[in-house]
Amino acid sequence: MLSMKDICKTYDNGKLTLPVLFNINLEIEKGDFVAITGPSGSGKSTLMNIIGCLDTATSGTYILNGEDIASKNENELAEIRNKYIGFVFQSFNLMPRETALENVALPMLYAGIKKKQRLERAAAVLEKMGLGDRMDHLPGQLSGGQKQRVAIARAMALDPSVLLADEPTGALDSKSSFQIMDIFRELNSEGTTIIMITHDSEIADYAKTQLHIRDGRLYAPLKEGSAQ
Amino acid sequence: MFEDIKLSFKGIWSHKMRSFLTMLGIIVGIASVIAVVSTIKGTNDQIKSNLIGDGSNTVTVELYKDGWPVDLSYESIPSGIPVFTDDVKAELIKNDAIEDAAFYRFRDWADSLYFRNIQLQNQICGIDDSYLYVSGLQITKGRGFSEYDHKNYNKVALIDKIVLNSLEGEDPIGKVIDINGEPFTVIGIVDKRSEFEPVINSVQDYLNYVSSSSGTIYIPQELWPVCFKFDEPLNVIVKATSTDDMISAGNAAISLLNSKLSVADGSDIKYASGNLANAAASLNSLSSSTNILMIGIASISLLVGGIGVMNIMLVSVTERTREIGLKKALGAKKRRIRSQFLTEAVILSGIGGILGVITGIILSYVISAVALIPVSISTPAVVIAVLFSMVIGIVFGMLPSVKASNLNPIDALRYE
Repeated sequence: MLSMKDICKTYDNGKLTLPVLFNINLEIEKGDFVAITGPSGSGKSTLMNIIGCLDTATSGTYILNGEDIASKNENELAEIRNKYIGFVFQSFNLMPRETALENVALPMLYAGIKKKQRLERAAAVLEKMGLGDRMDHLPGQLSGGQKQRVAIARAMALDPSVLLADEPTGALDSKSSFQIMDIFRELNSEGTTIIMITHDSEIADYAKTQLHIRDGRLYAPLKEGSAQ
Repeated sequence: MFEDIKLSFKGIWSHKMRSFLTMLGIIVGIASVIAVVSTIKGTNDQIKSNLIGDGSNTVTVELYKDGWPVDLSYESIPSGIPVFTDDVKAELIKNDAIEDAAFYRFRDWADSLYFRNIQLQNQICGIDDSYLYVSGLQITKGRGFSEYDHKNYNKVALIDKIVLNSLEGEDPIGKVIDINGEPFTVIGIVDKRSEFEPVINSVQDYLNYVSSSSGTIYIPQELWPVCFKFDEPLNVIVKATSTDDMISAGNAAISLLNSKLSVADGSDIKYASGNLANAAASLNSLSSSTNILMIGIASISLLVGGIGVMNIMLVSVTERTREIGLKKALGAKKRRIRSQFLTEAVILSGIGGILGVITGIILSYVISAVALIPVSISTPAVVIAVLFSMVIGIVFGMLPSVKASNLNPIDALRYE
């Protein structure tokens, strides 16, 4: 479903050439739950951006759901992100002036879904996240764990092929973190493919597979509990 | 589109103070334009109505001899002047500049003009069936001449308010006025259709006004020969389709009527129109020069307002960098980001334009009250002002919205 072959990424600002990723090869099947761990500066964010189609590789091929990402232009990438990728960020990135319901409905606006259906679907997903009574709250009125659940609901609103989580628990206390990971595990058991970046080994242990990235090179799956 | 508009209002509302200050440039620009245009238009309208009467766009064409209007009170009928028929009127109306035309005969005074034993010093006018409409008169009491009156030589008359005031307070309707020994029954009172209050600031204003203020008694033109002579030349009053057409309407009427004359070579007898057409011409040049000035003032003030809008939109883009990054990550295309910011800029400047129009109208009335200058709100100026302020929004919103749509989602998401 998701396949990367010899992906390299080099940043070039004209004066300085900075290679970040070297020959990344990655195969992810539907239903996988992968944690990518690595120290800061290892290139894990760059890899996430490429997987999330926010950035394109300098060389190599990346096939997502049969589509060759390298050949897409900016607008086509936006469409692919909308259709296939659900983003969960460390800092939630909710629209501060919109209610939880409107936040969840936002990606469906870009998919061209009618307003009534958008709100119905958003309400259903929020209900599932246990936020049925928080729909009309603004992000500022929610706790960190609740905000992240709204963000997950938003990511799941369009039934993505991949749920891409970048340090999803980085801004949460441990109780909320485990709640969020329980939700991830449940979503995964229902068939959602999840790729997660973290440097917290306790969190990484929730994943079925752990990959380690260091100095821009991806290392074979490590055994559970053996990361760093 | 609808989502964009809703979002824009939300954005503008959440920064009320800043949005208002942004709009201020546009508001002041538009308001001053509206106020100045309205004041100038008011002054123009005043001059126009003083010169041309009530602005009914009429041009009178009279017979002139040696440069002076032919006055049959003192002289005989010049030879070679045909009495025009309705065919000539039809020919006149065919001209695009002429909406309608009417024939009339006219005397400054009659030898013997009595109401009971009061001797009247009024003008007499013999009119056809379209004269009242063309010259902008209406019946305020009683009735006008019917077709029956015209056909059957009924001795009926209409008087205007000035004549009425000289009748020592009696109700004249149904009573008799004696014109050169012939009894005419007064059947109605006429007045200018629009309430015309002359503003007299100079001797010229007074002269323009007084020439039309000595009071007139109207009789059906069929009865003119009963009191006067049967083959007296007709004068024409034409109503131009608009004030701008007055000159061409007047000139068309003059050349048509002159082509019907068969006067002896060397005699200077011709149809002409006083100086009304010239007055209209100078008025038009007055308006067009002020219009050009206005466009200049408007452009400068709106340019300043537009730069204000651009500034704030640029700040707004920077402020919402993360939001833009997020939206792009969630699948918003460039076009959508662009149209969101563009819509906001247009709405911001459009609201500024509308507030500016309202302020401008209030300002106009304040100026009018304080400086005693007449004010006439120009509808085209209002519409153009609002549209133009929206165009300003598009032009000056373009740069910020393109900048927003070109943001890289990764950098934008990372922006603090």
